[in-house]
Amino acid sequence: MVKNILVPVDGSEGSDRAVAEAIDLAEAIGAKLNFLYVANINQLAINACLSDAILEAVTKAGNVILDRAMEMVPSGIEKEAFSETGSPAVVILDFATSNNMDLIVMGSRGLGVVKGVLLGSVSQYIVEQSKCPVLVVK
Amino acid sequence: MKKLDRILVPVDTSESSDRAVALAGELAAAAEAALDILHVTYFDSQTDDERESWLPGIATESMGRKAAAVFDRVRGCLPTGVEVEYHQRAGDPAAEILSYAAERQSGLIVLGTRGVSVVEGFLKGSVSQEVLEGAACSVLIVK
Repeated sequence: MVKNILVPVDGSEGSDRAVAEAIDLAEAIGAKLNFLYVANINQLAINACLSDAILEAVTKAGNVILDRAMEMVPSGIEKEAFSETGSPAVVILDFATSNNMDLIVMGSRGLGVVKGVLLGSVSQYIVEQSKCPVLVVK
Repeated sequence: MKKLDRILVPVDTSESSDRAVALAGELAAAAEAALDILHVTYFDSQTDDERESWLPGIATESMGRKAAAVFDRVRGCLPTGVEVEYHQRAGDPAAEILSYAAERQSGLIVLGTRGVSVVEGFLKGSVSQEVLEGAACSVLIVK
């Protein structure tokens, strides 16, 4: 049974569509939505040279994206927001494993800059490496 | 849930295919969607219609029976009460799956990766990759 759905969000159009589809799905099957925002910063860089101001700005940007996703969820559906730092694909997979997610719902392309590729690098990596099922939203 | 009217599940005799069927069945039951089960083979008795067939009998004649066996396997993985239709086609699997999905206006394709015909490291998941990239609808990949 699918009880926990992980929805990685990055504020892109594709991520918005994934949120919408995940909400429909969660509503139909009575699952909990877990939104995850991953700030793409290296922990060493944080320790070494990133100022508190930059960190604060990044955290704020992530919170805005998470808040927007949370607000889209109709009442009656269980939901939670999470924020992490690191390499998105790796962090998403780690999160899915350690929090026992049953399904990952994500967009086919995020904010990456490479045009003409049908599947973004993060989505591709997760589809290949994930142990739980992955729903790629078009 | 308007989008999930019809769920397409391409099947073979692999365990990941069984898991895809089970998950699709669960989703279909919850969302009251209908399931289309599709089995694609490379050849059927129509592939070579010359007087004398060059295809060995095992590749063509047994196809109906083989598909029936695959569908029996699928039935065993499905919850009761789900509306299901069974279809079989011959041709290139990824191309047939994509054209079928377009015709039936499938809202979702649920696909197991690493079928039995797949050689690890060589063709690993190439059908699922093609379907994932070429599909107009969302694709759920099941390991």
